[in-house]
Amino acid sequence: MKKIITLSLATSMIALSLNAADTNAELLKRIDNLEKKVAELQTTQSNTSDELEERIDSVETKSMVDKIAFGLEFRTRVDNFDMQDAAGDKSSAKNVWSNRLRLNMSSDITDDMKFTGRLTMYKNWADSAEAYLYSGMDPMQGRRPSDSGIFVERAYMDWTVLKGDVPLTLTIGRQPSSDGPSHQFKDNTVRKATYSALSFDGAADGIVATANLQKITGVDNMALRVGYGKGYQANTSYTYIGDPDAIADSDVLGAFFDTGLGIDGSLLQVSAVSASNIVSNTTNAAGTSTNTNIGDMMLYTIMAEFTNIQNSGLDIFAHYAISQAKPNGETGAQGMDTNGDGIPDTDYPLGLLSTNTGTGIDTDTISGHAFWIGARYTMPIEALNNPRIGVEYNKGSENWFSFTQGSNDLTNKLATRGTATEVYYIQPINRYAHLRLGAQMIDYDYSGSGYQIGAPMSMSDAATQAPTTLDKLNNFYLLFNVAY
Amino acid sequence: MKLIRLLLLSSVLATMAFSDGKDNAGKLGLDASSKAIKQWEKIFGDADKMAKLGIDKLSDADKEDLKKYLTNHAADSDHPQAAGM
Repeated sequence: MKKIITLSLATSMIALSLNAADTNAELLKRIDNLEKKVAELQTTQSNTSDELEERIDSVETKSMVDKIAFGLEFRTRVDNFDMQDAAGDKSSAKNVWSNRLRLNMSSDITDDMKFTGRLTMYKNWADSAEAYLYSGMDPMQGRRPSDSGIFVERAYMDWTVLKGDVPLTLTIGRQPSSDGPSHQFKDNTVRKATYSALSFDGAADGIVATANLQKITGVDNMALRVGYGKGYQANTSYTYIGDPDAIADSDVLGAFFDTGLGIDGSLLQVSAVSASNIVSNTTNAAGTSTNTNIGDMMLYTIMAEFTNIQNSGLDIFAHYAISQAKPNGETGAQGMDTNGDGIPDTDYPLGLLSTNTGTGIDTDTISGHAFWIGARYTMPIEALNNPRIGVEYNKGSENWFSFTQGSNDLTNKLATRGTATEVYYIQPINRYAHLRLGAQMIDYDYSGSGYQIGAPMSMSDAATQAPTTLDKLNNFYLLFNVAY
Repeated sequence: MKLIRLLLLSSVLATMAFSDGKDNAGKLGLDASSKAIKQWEKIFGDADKMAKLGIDKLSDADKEDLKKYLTNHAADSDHPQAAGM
């Protein structure tokens, strides 16, 4: 019996050992397979990493080579003007279409130096030449309909020369000086320039030093700026030898203080600007330039604006400015049409906000003032993409003068010596595009709005002395704008 | 003097009242200008991505305010322009 049991155990052990041998072989085989798979995976992963690195490198290279980032703004609008002159005669220019293209550029060159620029084409439909009076003048280039050529409306470097608690930045070049506060509400955008648009609007070359006070005070938007520019520079064809007949350059100096008011989207700005040796930019009836220096000008401005007050969708703003002209007694002969044939036939000696009527030019200071107020409301109607409505009103006195020749709109309404009212409706199409329907009603009390030359004349005087003087101007417009 | 105090107090209260998505962005360490508008929109459309950034813990209203703030200040958003800014 014992032998049988022993034999049985031995048989079982042999069978088990044979099975174990089979299992071990199988396990070894599986381990081998796994090792092969791991090796394959490692190779694949390595290849993928290399490939990813190459792709990231190519994206990084592309990003580094694309030195300038471009943004697009495109606008098509139709205007319908109705006019009435001082004599009561009416005329109109309706269904006037225009296109405006802006290519906005930016480039972060280094941590303390960046470039910003804007190339603009602005033209009336089917026009191939300068279409607007003085549109070739420096502040108006790209700001008034012209041909399909591109103007450089902005090109400047922001160079932070001092860092620390009060960083100091120099802005050098063609400045962000157009469409300033508070035009951004009507334009359905954000702040687009440095200065209150009541006093300054247009392209301008210069240098601005900005001391950023945000860090040291903890107040948003607090900054002190000092700027220098030129309103006129003698013809550069004589730069190397000097022109004995050249008139003095018109220099512009300004100081601006900005601060937030503790509320996101708020801005208070106080400024003083001095322009010396302002030029007459006159041409006599024979077509000869009679350009000469006619005096100096000071502009004092204060403005405040609030965006989206208490998340109510309401934006409001108010601007007030004083202009002080100091004629120097000089005049430039300006040829004017007195017989209505459209050809200048009589020369008028015009000085700074003054006219020589035979007794010379008074050199006393001539003061003017103006205010501009407005509001915009964003309606909480999601289904209509939150449309907006706005109203603006401005009033200028008899001798009000502003540097807004390259203004936000064709009518230069903020230079009005009288009153201007504008209402508008903005219909957003998507994040980037909108339609705006608006009406602008301007009632001039005095002549020459926006011009530095000639004594302003009341409309009653103009009715007899210069009957073609513009008295009332209405514009009904619709525009389509994309900013991307 | 009282008037100045009143103005300062109003200013502080107003700041507190208007502190929409900016505060939450700061608390969560989110830099709006680090991404483009569409990238922020993708994040707000993906629960996992929101959870990764801690946005999921906010109320719906706060999420909406945060999204508005981040997209309004994204790298490709409409930026303010002025000299030295």
